[in-house]
Amino acid sequence: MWAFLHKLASPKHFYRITGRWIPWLWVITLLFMVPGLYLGLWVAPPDYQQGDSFRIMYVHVPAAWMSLFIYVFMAVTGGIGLIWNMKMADIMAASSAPIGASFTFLALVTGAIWGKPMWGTWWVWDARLTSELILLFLYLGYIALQAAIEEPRTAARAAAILAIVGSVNIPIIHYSVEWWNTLHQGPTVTRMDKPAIHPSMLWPLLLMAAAFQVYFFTVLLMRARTELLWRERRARWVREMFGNSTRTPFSNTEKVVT
Amino acid sequence: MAKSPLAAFWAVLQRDLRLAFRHRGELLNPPLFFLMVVSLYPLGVSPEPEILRTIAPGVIWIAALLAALFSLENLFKADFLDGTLEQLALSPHPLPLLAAGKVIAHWLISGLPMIILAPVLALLLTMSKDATLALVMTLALGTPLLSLIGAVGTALTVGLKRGGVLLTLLVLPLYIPVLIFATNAVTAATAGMPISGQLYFLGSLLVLAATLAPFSIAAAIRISLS
Amino acid sequence: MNWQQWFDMGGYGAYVWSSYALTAIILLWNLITPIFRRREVLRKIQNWYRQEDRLS
Repeated sequence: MWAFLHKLASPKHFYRITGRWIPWLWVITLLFMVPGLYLGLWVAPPDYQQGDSFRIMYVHVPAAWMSLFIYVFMAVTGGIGLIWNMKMADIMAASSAPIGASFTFLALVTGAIWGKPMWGTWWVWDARLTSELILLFLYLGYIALQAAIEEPRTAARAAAILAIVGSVNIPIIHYSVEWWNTLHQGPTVTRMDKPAIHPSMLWPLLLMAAAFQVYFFTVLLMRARTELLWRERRARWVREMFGNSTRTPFSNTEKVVT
Repeated sequence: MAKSPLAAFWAVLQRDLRLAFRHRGELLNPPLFFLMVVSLYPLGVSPEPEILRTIAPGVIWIAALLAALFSLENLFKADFLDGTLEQLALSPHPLPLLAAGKVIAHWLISGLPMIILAPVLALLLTMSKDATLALVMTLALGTPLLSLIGAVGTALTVGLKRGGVLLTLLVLPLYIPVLIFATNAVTAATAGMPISGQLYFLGSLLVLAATLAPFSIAAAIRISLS
Repeated sequence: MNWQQWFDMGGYGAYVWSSYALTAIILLWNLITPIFRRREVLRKIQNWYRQEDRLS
């Protein structure tokens, strides 16, 4: 196990091994997503209060879960990169940021779309949506900081500090927003007050959450592998893998000309 | 130079204060900014005492947030440019302690004047006596928090040429819990309700930030210097 | 339940389907950007190698 993880930390092996994983990860994603969509959109009965609009939950809630998970994942991988000076961890953290931001955005917009039939307006300063909005700000700050620093190593380290400080703050922000919300909204009906959810409604949610989770790791690996190639372009293994094809007769004739 | 870490801490603190007092004009900028932003609200929203009283906690606190943020930009900048920051990082004394010294100096320069100025602003916005007291108490607990959290962001962006807007992006979301608890305490005090819960929460946030922030600031300084 | 009813979603069709459409767009976007980025990176590093070959 440790030997395997150690191997994954080396860029060359990471690239080779994950390349084999990606097709399988797509298969697993679809294995979760297709039944999740079928059960969620077709089989599950309409909610007795919200009618069919509750089906938005099957994309909104997994997206919201993922937005939190990815931020913490970013802080953890960033921390690993910071402490053990691991290039792969840096790349993982940097590659997850745009994906996390996109999930946060998705959770926000689907929340607003769901809110329209439920509250009658697109936006209500409800605790969940507000927290999600602040989380989006945190992601954008992270991406902006990473983009502002040119040197990749420094950028990764600075961003890791920010992600760690941010993830310490997330529970505090969440708690404070929740508390602020109960004070200001009064006893409005929150749509997430937990009724005993029927299994036929719960299963699609769990399947979709699993699908989003595997999907995240799949696209993360795709991003990370590309980023890895770019940062390792000076390494011999990259050159051996992609350099040969360029030494075609064409480039040889070019050589003669110049 | 100073022998014990504590002496080094005092040296940094005194140095920053002395430097600040040498530029007396700049010293007045944060409180002036604070005052101006707040006095725009009656002009922009309404001079109606009823409305002013409602929006006062948020207005004053958001102005405090922004004043803290703008004054933070210069916290490490000059020291970074003239190499003092590098010397501090190389010194045998623990960098978190020295960073704490700088943050405390920053708070004394920018936070403390705002606390002193707050009753005047409360008067302008026709706040009640209880609310004014609550405002001063929340500022006393909250402005050190602003300096501590903001210093992390400043340390991360100090090496960048145009870090100003970026600093705002990084730090403002982290200020939200402070804003929520502080304005809530003032609003509750206006309504004659107890505010000890909010104050306890701000206090525990302050303790948490005071223990963790110096280490994050020190780590961020080392990264920015590399 | 027939198709018509299904698309209608009890009157919430526009909300439900726009949410799922947005989800599809974002999931696809996350899939496509790394693919394009990969092409770009491969092109860049191959150009880079070519230049180095020429210099050496």
